[in-house]
Amino acid sequence: MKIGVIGNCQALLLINHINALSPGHDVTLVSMYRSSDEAALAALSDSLFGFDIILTQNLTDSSWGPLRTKTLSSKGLKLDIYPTVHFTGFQPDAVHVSTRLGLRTPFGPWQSSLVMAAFLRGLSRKRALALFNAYIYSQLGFFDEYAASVEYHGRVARNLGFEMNFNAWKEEGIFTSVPHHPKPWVMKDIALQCLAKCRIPVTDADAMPVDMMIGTPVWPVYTEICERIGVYDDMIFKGRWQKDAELQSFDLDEMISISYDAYDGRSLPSELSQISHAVQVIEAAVG
Amino acid sequence: MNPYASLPETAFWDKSVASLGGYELDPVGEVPFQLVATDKIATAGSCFAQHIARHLTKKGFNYFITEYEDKIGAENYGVFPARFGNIYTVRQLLQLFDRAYGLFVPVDEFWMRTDGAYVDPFRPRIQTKGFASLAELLEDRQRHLGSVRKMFERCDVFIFTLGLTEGWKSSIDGAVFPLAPGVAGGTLDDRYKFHNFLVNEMVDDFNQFIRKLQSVNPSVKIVLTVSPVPLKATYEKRHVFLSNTYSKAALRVAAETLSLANAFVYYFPSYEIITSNGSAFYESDRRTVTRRGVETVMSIFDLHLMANEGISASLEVALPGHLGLDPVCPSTRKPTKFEELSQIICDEEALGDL
Repeated sequence: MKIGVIGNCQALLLINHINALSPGHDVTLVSMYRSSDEAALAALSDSLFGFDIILTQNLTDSSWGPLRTKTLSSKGLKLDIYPTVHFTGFQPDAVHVSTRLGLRTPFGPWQSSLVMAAFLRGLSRKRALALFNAYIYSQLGFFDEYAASVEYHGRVARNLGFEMNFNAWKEEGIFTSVPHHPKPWVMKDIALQCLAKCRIPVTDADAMPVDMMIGTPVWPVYTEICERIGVYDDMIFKGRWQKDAELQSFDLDEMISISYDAYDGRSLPSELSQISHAVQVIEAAVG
Repeated sequence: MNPYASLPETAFWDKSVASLGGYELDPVGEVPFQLVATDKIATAGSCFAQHIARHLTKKGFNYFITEYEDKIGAENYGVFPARFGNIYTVRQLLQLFDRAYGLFVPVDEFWMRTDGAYVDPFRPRIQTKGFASLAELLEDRQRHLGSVRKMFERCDVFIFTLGLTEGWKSSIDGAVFPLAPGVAGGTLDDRYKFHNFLVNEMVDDFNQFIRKLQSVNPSVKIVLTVSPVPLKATYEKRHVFLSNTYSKAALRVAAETLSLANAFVYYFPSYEIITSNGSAFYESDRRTVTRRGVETVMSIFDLHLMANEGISASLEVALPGHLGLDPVCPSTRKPTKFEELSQIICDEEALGDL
């Protein structure tokens, strides 16, 4: 079978699992991460007519151009939509900020909304550190995020004919390293459901390929959030792996310092809803 | 029809107060919740709160201590859930929460004592010798405030004894202290001013505290009491007796307002139990509550608030007569174990040293 998989980084993970669970198919990544100009995307879009099966996330953002799901569908392509994981229940503070802003930290595009808001409010690093507590988390809605994420993702996935097995995934441990990056057992579950929907037999159900996200940033689940959702984590932030270097780990104090250094003199995305909400919460809490 | 006709005896002074012998009054009616042995119970407030803490420990209840040291009792470890000392005013309680959660960083970081020791302005007598350096104080405070957070977040029941309306606060940022600057550290100057809290201020402060506490501990239950211990001294330009009357009345109204407005807040009438017997439950200074008085309060507390718990036979508890036991007149017994009461740490005592 010739299978095209469209989507963000999770498409690559899905391909990895499909290849492991049902080897022998021609599975191709179709993504703007490989070709981002309009002409190239249009060519990619046209090439999809040559696939037996097209698996895609529900892509609505204009940046996907001709690969947007609605556009592909209007061309008469038969699409099987699989769910996108952007699960903020474990790491509600981690906000995805465009790398174009030039914020150079070991955490790639991930920033702490709380730290950025504290910086924008002109608070010292010491005061920013003191705001990492249950009261501020509650005001930011962090304690409600897990249930809200479960409800939202569950509902969206069900509409697509998928089941998000959150409880089983949580039994295995914290199932995202950052909101966009699900752990292998999550992507395996989604891959199994994709194969079942496409009636492709699984030949190696025990297969678990190497985690392709090893070496990418890991945002910890804050202690007070762990207590409420029944998981355990340290408070260690792990940076992006760099060639010939050891994995970098940072405690909260260090993460704040790195962030403050990176923000100094930069234009920050205060308009992002997570950031503006955090600024409002901090204003209300500390004046 | 007379609307009073169907009311219970407790609604009538003649039947439920005047007709009783001494020490029989139990004014507690229905309680909205009871405490079970596994409940983590935290206490705070004026020095009378320590009686409750000691009693809970004695009875085998889960008195919740979050700040530990090897020697329990030494330097106030184990006397309070965390070493915050006595919390006399509602504003002090609210600010303890705010300081613990990084919401308020007072200008007064430390006070100096005349012997060169550093003291924490918010618990100036927590360590006999104070702190040897500012670094030592700040390190201890950081650990302490972490323990305070743990107490707020994990307790099942929070018992707060309202103690005083009078207090001292910073003119700069409004920080409220348990003792006036100059009593156990610091210097009284124009950076500080006296403040006598009004009912509405206390209700507003406590409502703010409730909202904040619930945001970190949604299922917490609160028991309020008013300390029956009269003021040691007043800074108002009037007789201490008048100040005491105002203080107790205002605290009682605040407690009533708060408990009426919130189903999870219960007012326990320790003040009424002690004062209902004239001066019988006070020592000769008419201020110190006798051991019998404390035991009477706690026996009524046990009876109504502690679920599935018998009253310990090993305790010499003065039970109200209506429980079927003979009340023992305190005047026929010399005060026993007075030294136990003397262990209660009351910052206010320092006012007498001025």
